[in-house]
Amino acid sequence: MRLRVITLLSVLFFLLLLQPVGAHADSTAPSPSPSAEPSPSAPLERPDGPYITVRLVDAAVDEPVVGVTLSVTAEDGTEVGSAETDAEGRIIVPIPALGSYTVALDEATLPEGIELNTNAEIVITARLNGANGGLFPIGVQEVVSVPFSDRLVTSLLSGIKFGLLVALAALGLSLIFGTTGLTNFAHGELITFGALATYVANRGLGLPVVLAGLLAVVVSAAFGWAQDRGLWRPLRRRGTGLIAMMIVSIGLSLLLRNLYQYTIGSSRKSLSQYVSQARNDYGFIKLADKEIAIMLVALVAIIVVCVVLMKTRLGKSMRAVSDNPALSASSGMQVDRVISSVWILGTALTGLSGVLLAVNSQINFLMGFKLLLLVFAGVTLGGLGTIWGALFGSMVIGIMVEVGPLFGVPSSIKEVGALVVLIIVLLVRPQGILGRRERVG
Amino acid sequence: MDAEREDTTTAGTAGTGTPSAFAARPDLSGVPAEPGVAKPDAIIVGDSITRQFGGLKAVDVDHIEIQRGVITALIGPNGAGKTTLFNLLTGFDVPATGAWSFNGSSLARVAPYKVARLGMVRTFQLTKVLAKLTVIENMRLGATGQRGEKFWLAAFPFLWRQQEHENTERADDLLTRFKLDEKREDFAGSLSGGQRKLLEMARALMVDPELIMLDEPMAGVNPALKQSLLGHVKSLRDEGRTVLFVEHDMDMVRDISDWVIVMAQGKIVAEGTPEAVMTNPAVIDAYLGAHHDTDLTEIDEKEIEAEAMAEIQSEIESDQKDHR
Amino acid sequence: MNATQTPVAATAPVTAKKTSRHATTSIVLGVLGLTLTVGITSPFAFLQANKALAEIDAAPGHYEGRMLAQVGRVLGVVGTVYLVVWLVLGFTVGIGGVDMVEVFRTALNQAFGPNAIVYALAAIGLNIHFGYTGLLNFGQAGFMAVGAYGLAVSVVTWGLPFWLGVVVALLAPVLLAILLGLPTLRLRADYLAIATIATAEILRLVFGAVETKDVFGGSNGLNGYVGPFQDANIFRAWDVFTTGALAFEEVDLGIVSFSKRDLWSMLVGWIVVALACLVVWALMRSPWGRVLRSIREDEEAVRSLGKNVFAYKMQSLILGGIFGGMAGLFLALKQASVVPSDYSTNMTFLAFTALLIGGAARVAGPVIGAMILWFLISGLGSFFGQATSGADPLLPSWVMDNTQASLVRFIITGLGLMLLMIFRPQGIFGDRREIAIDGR
Ligand SMILES: Nc1ncnc2c1ncn2[C@@H]1O[C@H](COP(=O)(O)OP(=O)(O)OP(=O)(O)O)[C@@H](O)[C@H]1O
Ligand SMILES: [Mg+2]
Repeated sequence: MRLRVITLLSVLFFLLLLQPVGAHADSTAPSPSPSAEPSPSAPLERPDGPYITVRLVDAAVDEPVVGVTLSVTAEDGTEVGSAETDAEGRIIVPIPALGSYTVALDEATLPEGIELNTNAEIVITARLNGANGGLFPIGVQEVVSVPFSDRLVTSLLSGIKFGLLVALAALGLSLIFGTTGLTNFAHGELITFGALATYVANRGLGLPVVLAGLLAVVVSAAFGWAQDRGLWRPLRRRGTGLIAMMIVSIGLSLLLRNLYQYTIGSSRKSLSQYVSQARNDYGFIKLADKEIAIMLVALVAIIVVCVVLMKTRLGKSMRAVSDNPALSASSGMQVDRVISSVWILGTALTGLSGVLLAVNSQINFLMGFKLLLLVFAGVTLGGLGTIWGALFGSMVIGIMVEVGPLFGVPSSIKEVGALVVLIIVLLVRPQGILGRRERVG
Repeated sequence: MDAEREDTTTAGTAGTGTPSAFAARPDLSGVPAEPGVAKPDAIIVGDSITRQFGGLKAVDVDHIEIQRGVITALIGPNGAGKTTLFNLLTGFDVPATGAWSFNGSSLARVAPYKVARLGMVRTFQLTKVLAKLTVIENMRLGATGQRGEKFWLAAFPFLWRQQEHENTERADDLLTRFKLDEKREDFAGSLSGGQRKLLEMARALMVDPELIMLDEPMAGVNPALKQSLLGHVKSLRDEGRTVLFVEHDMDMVRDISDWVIVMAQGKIVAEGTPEAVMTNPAVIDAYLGAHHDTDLTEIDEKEIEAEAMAEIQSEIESDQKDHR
Repeated sequence: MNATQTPVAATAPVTAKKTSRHATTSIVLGVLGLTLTVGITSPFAFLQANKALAEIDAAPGHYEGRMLAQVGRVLGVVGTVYLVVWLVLGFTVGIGGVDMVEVFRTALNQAFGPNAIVYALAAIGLNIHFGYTGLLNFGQAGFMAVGAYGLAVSVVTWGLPFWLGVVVALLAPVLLAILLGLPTLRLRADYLAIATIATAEILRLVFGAVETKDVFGGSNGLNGYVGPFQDANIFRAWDVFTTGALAFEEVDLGIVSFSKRDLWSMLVGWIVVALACLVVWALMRSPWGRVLRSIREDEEAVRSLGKNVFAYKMQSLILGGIFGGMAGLFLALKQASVVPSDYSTNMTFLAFTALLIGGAARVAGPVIGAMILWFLISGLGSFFGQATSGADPLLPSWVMDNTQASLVRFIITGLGLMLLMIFRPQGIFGDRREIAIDGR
């Protein structure tokens, strides 16, 4: 079959096969690219105004550490810039005004075999109108060789944490998919919404992070309810098909994502509290307090939702509606109300996942969209529409992403491992791990 | 039990069917009426076919044979596993265990499209018309061995136009037979439920199958048309085709079938000529009910209605409570 | 208590009285005229509304939707006035520093320029997948990426001759289609969507990874392979022939102007697009195309009639994938560089938008859709860009600054895609007869 296609194309494309005659210089004319990812970079020549400079030194051998990404964040949480350390282990980031800035080190970019022995973040107060900071050694220590088991435990832990965050969002997606059949491509934007709402409540209204997070979950739920009322329910009434609705959600995703960027810009922001926390050593494992809190909150939320779904009437009617909406309606159930509750619950969970992500790291208009594929992968891996499948699949995905680099997945693209697993699983079990085959005829 | 069965068999052989059909009918009178009995000239032979859904054994057939050149009816209560058996036989579903053959060649793990090409075509209980194609295009799709369906020939109409023309003629004949000729240029999606059943049957005939398997072909078809359809089904047999159909309408079963297989809870519980089966106490218990000749009494209806109403009411109430 | 209305119940198409299609169309065009298309669709809304009213009055028992039609007519009139005012003001004095001629020029330029060709080709591929076969391929960017990288890697990294690079670029999508199709074509539509989107992302990540920098050039991508393509530039050759020197000045064609480099890309590109349309047209009117369309409707039914559905889906995936690969190849040629971030999921979604604007399952749909998409995107971009720049911008900077202005077009694209899918899922040029049975 392949060969034949080629023959066709060689007929089609004789035009492109014009003989090459030498080469000449090309002037590149980049097209307006629709993807608007931020690409933070900073020049290494010293700027005129105030700037922050940091030098990263390996304390053990007193040598600079090269190629590590550091980012500088202002007091209000806006990212001022970030840069990779040069051959001297130095970065220079210009700052808009004097004041106090946080410099954060991206631990993932540290070279092999080197581990941070202090905090990943330091605070620098800029007083001079020129260089601020000077030689500032963030303590870096060469680790002779971390035993594989230790690295595995560390990766497993961050995998579990990540998996739980994905699971929250996946649960939301799965609930909505299960009851309405909607494959929601705007789901990632619901995650971002939770994080953004936290940021606004925290930085804008000045609430403490915990309260801001709670408020964000409530606002997310309201957003979900409003979305269902204002958009999806009318569409269901009109009898819009599932694929059409899926495409509507793609439009919504594009709309929301660009609206987010419109309002907050493309830089990364951080919350006012819990930004930098040192990891406590619990003997076998090392965890920061906020990491423990994040995992606990996620776990409790998941358990509560599962209990609600298994035990209460609401859960039962949700499952009934997802099985057969027409039948549920004709047996007197208020399908629209059930679906409304599902949207509220689903978006609250998804929002919570955004809140926890914001606490865990930083806030950016793309964060949800970047996570979306992994959420989808988790849900699909378990089998579309099954709650347990979504949980299970998300944990697998989370752990795969974090543990993969230990087994040879390049760490700069560690998501690839999880996605490859997804495709392999679908090859073996097309209905997902816990899914059921559909009835024919 | 044995004596009874023999009784009914002998009673059943006398005076069934129309005379014309009778003439073409191969003789099944000698075949004993017991589940899984061997037929003189079987087109399908299946052994220990099972299919489970979770804990439910939807199909659990020890032995089944379908006689060539006759009309066999497959009956049984809802959820007996008839559709599932259809799916298994035609390759749309894969059984847990079992072997079966069509015309002597094994069909285990053979893809559905290959099964159809071998001459065994089925229709679906929930009709599957191609909504955004016109009726005539639905029909044309059914024809087999089309040259124009090959990728490399498709772009050159002169290679397939003649064949397409012949197929269209055949399709028009069938459409007239099934009273769909007026709908020829309409989208199939605009047809009514009954018309869809007709279209699906006609389309299956375009494949020119040796064995045609109809899953509830008459559900939703009006009585007058039903009569003429019965005639068509019989004429299929007279053309030498084998028909296997699922039906809940006992009059129809009695009228046209030469042989009846009864399923309940996945198993074949009885077989025989229509008369034999309908007087079989096991069948009456499992499927037909004691009053299968009479209408349901008024009282029954009211009782059922009242029960249903009460149930709905309680659902609504508790549902409202939930949301307060 | 209308809560008991089910989503399923709404699909029954045949009712005694139906809403006049012209009425619906007019209201959609009217709304679009006042929002997205800055009045361009409004005159048509007016015409459609008049048709609807005539139709309804002719057979009052048959149709409803008088109200709709009347609203559509009013919207149409308002929009038309708005359009006229816009145009007159815009072309004569400009509006608050916005040069409308410039906006129109930019829009037209892009509607016929190389970008529209890239999206037209990608959308033609998607049309074969989604429009005709019903395959939800959300990984078209992946096909484009292997096409583009096929050329760049063979020429730059492996040092193969240019023509061999083109061959590789056309083979790579075939290979990808087979690899992708084997596991996923048996899956349900929504699984397929996720598997394809995942594959495209994997490809993009791998192409841009630090670890594969030696082959794919990392996040900066590859360039320096396009020489032979521009050497064959007939406009340039003409230049050399007549004046004896190379000149890369703009060629002015009245309102629009293109560089000679772009003109050459466009000449080749539009010929390829035309040929692609011809192929699609020839294939889709054949019995082969009928099988594809049947698979879109119900693949089990097709299976039950003895067709090897898997093989047809694979053929469709390969054919559409090749067009996707051509889109990538063309992008690589016209842009003279291959950058991984170009091949993001966003690109697939925009190609889908182009397809849906023009109408799926129409031969010319994707082409017209791509042109309209680029007309709107660049027109809006130019308008808001001008409106937010200069000493005294039309829009004060607290409303919108220049960076934000570049986002407005995507916000509007998202909104437009939603409205399109809701009110006119068959696209602007879709078949009216099919709406009635659009149960999906
Ligand atoms: N895909 C499936 N998953 C789970 N259970 C199934 C599936 N398909 C069928 N079943 C179950 O198998 C049993 C047999 O179903 P089947 O459709 O074969 O019944 P039937 O005899 O055709 O009934 P009817 O006369 O109502 O059409 C039923 O209990 C049904 O619920
Ligand atoms: Mg059945």
